[in-house]
Amino acid sequence: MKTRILKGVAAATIAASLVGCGQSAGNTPASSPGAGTSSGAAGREDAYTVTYMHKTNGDEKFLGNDSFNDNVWTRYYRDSLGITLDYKVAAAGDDYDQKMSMAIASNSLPDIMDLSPSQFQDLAAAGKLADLSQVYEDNASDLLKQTIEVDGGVQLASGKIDGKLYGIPQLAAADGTGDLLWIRTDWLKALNLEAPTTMDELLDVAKAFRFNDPDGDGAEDTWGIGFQKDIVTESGASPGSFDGFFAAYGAYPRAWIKDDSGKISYSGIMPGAKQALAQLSQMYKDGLIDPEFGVKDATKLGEDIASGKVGMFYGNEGIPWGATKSCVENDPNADWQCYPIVSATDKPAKPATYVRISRYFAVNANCKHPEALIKIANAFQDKINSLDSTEETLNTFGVDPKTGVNFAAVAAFGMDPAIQKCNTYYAEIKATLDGETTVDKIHPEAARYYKAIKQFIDNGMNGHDDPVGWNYYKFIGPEGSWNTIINDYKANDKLVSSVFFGAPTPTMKSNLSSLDKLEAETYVNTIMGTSDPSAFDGFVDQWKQLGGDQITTEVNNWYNTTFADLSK
Amino acid sequence: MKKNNWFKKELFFHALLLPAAVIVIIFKYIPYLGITMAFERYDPLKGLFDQQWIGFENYRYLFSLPGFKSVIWNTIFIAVMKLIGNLIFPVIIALLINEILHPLYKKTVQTVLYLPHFISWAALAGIFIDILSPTGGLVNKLITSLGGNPVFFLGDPKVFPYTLAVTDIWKELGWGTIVYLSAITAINPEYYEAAKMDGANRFQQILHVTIPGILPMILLMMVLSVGNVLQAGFEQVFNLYSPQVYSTGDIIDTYVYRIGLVQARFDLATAVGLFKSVISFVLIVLGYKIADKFTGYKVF
Repeated sequence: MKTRILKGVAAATIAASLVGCGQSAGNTPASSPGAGTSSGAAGREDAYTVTYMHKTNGDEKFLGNDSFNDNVWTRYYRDSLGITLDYKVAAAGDDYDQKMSMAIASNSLPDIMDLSPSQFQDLAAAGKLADLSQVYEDNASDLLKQTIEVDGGVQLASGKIDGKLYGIPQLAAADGTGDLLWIRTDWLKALNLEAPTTMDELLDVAKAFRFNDPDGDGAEDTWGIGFQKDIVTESGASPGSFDGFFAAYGAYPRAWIKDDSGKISYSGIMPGAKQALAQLSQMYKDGLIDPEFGVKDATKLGEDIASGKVGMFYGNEGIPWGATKSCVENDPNADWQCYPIVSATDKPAKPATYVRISRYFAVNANCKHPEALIKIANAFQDKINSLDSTEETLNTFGVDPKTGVNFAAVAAFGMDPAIQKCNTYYAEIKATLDGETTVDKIHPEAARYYKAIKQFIDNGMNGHDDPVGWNYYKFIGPEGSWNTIINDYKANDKLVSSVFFGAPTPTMKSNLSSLDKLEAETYVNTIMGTSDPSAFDGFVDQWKQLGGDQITTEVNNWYNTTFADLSK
Repeated sequence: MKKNNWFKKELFFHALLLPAAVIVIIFKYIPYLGITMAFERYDPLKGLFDQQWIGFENYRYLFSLPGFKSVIWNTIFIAVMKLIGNLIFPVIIALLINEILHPLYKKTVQTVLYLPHFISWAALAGIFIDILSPTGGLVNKLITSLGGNPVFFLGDPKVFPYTLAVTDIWKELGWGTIVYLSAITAINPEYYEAAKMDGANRFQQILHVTIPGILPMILLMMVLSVGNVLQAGFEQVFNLYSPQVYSTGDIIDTYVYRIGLVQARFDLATAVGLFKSVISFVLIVLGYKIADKFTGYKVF
């Protein structure tokens, strides 16, 4: 008796540890069809319903009783297009990923779905997805095609397998985002310094920020330059990115760079990375870098920036929204400005850009109406991105002026040409400020930014009193980050793109996590002086042996097959 | 004939038991089918029964991963430290709390000790990074004011595992006392009266009445916790570690998480789960046998 019960208990323990992956089985659709969805569509002969599994941001808001299944967009699809979009699942983050995995495992895919790059590749290869090539040709509006193929069709090409289009990628910022050097200008002034243009000058500024008491409180409590802990990442760890620093030596910890001969190689093992690490290690030894950077993530570094402990760091163009804004809010004297990144060699430093496709919109092979996806995608372009869209359309389908509820966020398959938009708005705002045009002639959204910026300039450009105006001014104003990107980076052809953005290759799936661990350890230990910079050569050999060479071959193959059509 | 009667008499009770048995079968035994995933090249697109059987290939792969052995060692080292700490300190604290006479003070102490249990590691990690900071953290300020050198608790690979153990013990300290406090209240007050009659002071009462009184509970907790020897605490490690302490702080769960991050590998996750369960099973049996042999105490 004794042993039998014991066995039962032990068996239950085993079972308890295994049910983990089964727990998501009890999923219920996050929102059931709204009550009022059936009225308008019923009248149409050609009306039909398609089911949809959608990965949300998790912060979508609705007016009144609206929901995913019943809102201004779904009513528009139903009444104008005759398509009832039935959200089977609308969930965010891991929650959605689990539900999608369950749907794949139980073979109960909806008509239309949001898929991660690897799910997309697996399903397309298994023949579960509809070929959209013809549907896209026939149904996509010129505006939609223009939006999607803004980068010359590079991202769309990743949705093709053997020349057939199986999914529409959610567009990622293609070549408009890169590291900038952000510096506290009030500290520069206090110490009588100029913004650095070379690595040597950057070191001088860092030393002055560390040891010459830029904040004037009599204590050595400021760091020369701020970094956060994630070095080997392409997920844009900002502020405190390492990419901009490595770029000074022509290397990037996490980029796949195509050389002149057309061969793609991993930049994290290039000699430039070794030089960058040696320099960082020296800076660490000199006390310019917070010894705790290795445990501080971007949020934690942001707190240091906001509290005036850091006066210089690398970060992307979105920085004015975050820590620097808190900094000027906290300190009436603080002001920040972005500068192009500096070079350590005689060649100009080029920031890396990454394409990060978060999802593919795909259609079930069994769906009778694959064109629904394209038709619905057209709607977003007509209402939001069209230059003809009026303030009234934007208020109805974009952002509600009264409550601030963002309707555009719940539109299905919204393709936002963010880069294009910023370029246009920047030009329009600048032209208006220069008196070349007037505010009523520019895009209503640009006009909104213009008004905030104009007010900020007129009121004496004090960020402490007007943080929102400061925010817009530093982003899209005449001295904003977008100005540097367009008039320095793009004008001088300085942006380098990391060319690999497909689903993980087979060897990546099996070996990449070990390689990443190896790289991250080598980098951090070199910077912190626990291992010598010469250990880098051993790391490179090990990296190649442990599957790195194989991954490089696979990346080259992926590139050559995916973009074979484009190069023709 | 007699046997038949017995069955009829108890049939009603068996019927009462049936729903519970069915639930256990559905939710605990049928999922056993999933164990097969550990021995398959699992492709979620195919059904559970159409998978490619690869035997112990997943295990061979796991153990061939560079550094997997040091990861296992880290896991055991961290987990064992936590096991011992989480066994000893709650007992001491429970004994101390039990000696507090003022009821309001006693309740306050208990509540304050319970609180950390309810804070998630994601939030605590941010707090610990500040408190344990080598530059300006509270703990290091104390150390330097006493003449010591600042310790980088979260960044020094030599110190990191101990930081993990101490912070975990601190967090679960109050929670662990609950079970001992309830065991103490179950001790017959007559024992204490008898001890007092014999002239035992408070310390002797603890030593000769309270501790023997809760010993069965301590042993039970020990036996149950031995199965956790491979559970080093994913949430805590994941929130506190960084590449510079991978060498001593990377555990099986975080390592597998990073593999899973590249792609959802159900087969590998199941293989690791089964591996951990089998070892836990063996250890529970062993722990139970040892407890049985040395104290004559039986759970079952």
